[in-house]
Amino acid sequence: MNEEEVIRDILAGNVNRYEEIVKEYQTIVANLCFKIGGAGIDIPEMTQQVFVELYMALPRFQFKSKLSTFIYRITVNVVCKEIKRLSRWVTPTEDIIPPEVPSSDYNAEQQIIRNEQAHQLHQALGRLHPQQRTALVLYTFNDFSYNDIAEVMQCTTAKVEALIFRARKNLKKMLS
Amino acid sequence: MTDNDILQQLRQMRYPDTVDVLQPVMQQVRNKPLLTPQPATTHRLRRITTAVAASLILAVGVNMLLLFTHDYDETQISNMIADVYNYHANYDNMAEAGFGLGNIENLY
Repeated sequence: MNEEEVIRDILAGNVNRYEEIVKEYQTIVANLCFKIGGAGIDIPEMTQQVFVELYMALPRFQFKSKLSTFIYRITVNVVCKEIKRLSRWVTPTEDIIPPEVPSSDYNAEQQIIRNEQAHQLHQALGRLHPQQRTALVLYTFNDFSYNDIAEVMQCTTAKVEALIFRARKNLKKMLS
Repeated sequence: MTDNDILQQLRQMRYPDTVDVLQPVMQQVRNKPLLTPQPATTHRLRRITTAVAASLILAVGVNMLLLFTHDYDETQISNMIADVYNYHANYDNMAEAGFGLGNIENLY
């Protein structure tokens, strides 16, 4: 998909081409919402809101950065606003197993241990400061560089480095 | 759990359900007209106005804080009043003694 061409088409009035962007990014956006916001927020609702806000923001897109970076920035803003509104980060309930661990790589016992660890990790992640959590999640998400994260979070690279360092340190402390 | 384990688990973390928001999004989007962006000058002007307003508020705030927190004693205040009074008294005396207004201002 040639993103620039699609966006220019949408801006020219061909709204139907927006489907291409939604199809391409909806799973990625849902995952990012889940990682930053936790299982307590309504992920499909959040994803929907991200795409509506993205559509409204398209005229402001100046083609200076990648579309994905622009989408992630909107996702982070939407989720952080929702977290603020809820004033809490809800940890996942028992029926939602946060990570998908490739089962063929582990035997049953290892699988249980890893799932338990993943559950603990998800809970610990929820206790981090939202900014630290966002930076760390983006760092592990599509292997973003510090510059990419700084662009998404609209802060300096030095701040991103500090946030990730503190997040890793705090997580390690919580899980030890 | 080691640092690497944590990062690896974070990388593997996925939302377990399938998300399909295409229909609701397209329904909403079709009813919303796209707004043309404001020219860059408007943005710049708004930013400058905000910066100036913020500086003013900060300056006034700091001054008020100093005024209320600084502990001036009575002697200091009397001296300050006396200084102002003397300044004006001298000015008046010199004017009476025949100095022109321009000359006096030059002296000061």
